[in-house]
Amino acid sequence: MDKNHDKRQQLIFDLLRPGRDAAGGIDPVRPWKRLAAHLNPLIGETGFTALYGRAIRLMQSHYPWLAGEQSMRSTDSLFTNLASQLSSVNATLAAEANLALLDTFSKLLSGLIGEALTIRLLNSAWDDASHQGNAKEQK
Amino acid sequence: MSDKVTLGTLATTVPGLDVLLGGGLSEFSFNLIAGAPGSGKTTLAHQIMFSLAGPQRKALFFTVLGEPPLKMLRYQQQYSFYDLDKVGNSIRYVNLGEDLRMGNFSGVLDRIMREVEAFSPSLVFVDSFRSVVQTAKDGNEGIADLQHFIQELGTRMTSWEATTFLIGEYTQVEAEANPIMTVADGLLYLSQYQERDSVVRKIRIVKMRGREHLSGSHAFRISGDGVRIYPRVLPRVPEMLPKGGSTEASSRIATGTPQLDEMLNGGLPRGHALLVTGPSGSGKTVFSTGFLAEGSSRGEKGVVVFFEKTTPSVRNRKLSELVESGDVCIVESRLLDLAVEELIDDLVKAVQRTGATRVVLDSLSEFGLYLAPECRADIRDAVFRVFSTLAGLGVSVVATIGLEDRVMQADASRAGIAFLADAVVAMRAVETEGRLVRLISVVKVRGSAHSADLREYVITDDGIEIDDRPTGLLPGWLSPRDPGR
Repeated sequence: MDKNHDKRQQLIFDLLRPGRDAAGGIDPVRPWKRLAAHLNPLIGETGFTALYGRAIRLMQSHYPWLAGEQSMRSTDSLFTNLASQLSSVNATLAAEANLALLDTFSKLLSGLIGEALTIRLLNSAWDDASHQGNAKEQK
Repeated sequence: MSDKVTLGTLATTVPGLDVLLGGGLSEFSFNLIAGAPGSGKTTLAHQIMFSLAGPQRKALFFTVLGEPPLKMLRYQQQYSFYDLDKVGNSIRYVNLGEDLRMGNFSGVLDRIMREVEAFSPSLVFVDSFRSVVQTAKDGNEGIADLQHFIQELGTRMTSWEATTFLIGEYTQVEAEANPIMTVADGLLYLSQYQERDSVVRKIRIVKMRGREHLSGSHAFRISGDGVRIYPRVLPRVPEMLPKGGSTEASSRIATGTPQLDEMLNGGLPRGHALLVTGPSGSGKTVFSTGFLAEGSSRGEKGVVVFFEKTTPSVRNRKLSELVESGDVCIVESRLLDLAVEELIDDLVKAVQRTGATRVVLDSLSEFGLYLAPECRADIRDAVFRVFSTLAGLGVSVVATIGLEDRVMQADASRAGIAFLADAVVAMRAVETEGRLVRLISVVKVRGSAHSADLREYVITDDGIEIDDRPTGLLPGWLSPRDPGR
């Protein structure tokens, strides 16, 4: 189980690494969009937003500024909100909070559907992200 | 050579299901798996999907507004058939909940087709289809829309060469009257029958176009390995069994009680089911143990089924030695809602695993206590199926049955079970000169002559010892009833 836990964390690190926005900076919301693209067809947008809401709730004591609208139903509105919250603090703190939030979210997911399936989903999201990254580099 | 279309068969490998389906599902068929909540529809659908899906035969599982997908993934993973390696590449889940909430039937159909075209599945599942149906508008227009949607879906899926399964919470009457039924090629109906405190799960193939399927309801159980169905079918009797009346040594087996073998005209005909009747304490279990021990001394394996509150091996030294030596295997049930097919399944597996040639059932009197009330109602039917299956395996059987202590009545035809046995040995006790004397007789042996003696016997540490001559204790003559009484 520890091995799977480490693998999941490594995948989250990897997922956060390649994303860059048009201005060349790190796009903190991009891993979330990748994850949502793979998870929504599987668990539905409702499932995703419910898990996200729970992760935010668990993170509130460490990062009170992450508190947001809990009744949001679309992942797009969640991510817009997250982007604005992360941009309101310094980059180091934002990166740390984003990593912790992704870790908590994936931990909740693995508690429900198991580490093995969660790692598969993170792997798929990572594969897509890296393929898109490579495609951009080739342009 | 026929020009008729040949229906491809998909063997599901779900234990017992292919027997019901006449070999398997028809390829490209459009099926409905119906039943009340908790009847096992989603589990059966998953088991079929994981069994059939692979890189060359991909599966799409659409979840709608039924069981939340997160929960379904969580719980279905617990079954041994759930192969995570297939998820993603060979099996893909797609949630249709949002599409259904947002749009109409045509929107849902378009989404299904988009996903089907993108993934090219050979198997398509929609769970729960009832939630799709429930979004239909009220009135004739809604029904027409729904019928059109179902027909369109059925036609498109079959044209796409996909075998489709719609899963829905329908009662049997609802399912049969539903517009889906006119389009569906197959209807598998799952149910749970409750009587008193026991529940027995049943499956029925109501309809399966193009296949010679088994009709009637068949019991099934859901365990960690998923669904296991117990088809109600009787096996063929093997041809290798000796012909009736043969007294050749090879066609007879020693029972472990030599004097009884003599009364049986040379032993029990091989493959016969011998019913041993007698009151409590008459030595039925002692005789049965001797039967197994005799087999063990000849290198034969045995299987014994006990229907008693504790296994006699705990108190029966000879039997526990046979079990410890590996010559005898015990089949026991701790369940009190047993369907007779489950016992048969356990028995067949034990006989096939050990290569046993002798089987003991001890005793049929308590057998009914282990059966679900629904099966208990007809114990004769249950015993008939057990005997028939064992006959199909070619094993020789000793079954015991307890009788009440009516010392002057040899009630060998109790509950009609004696008619099902090939041979009957009656044990009884009579009171004489201040003591109980035990008597034994051979009541019948199918296709064979046998002794008509009533002989005294005693139970010793070595088993049953029978006198060589008939008893003189009972006169056995008929006397007219006293007209004065």
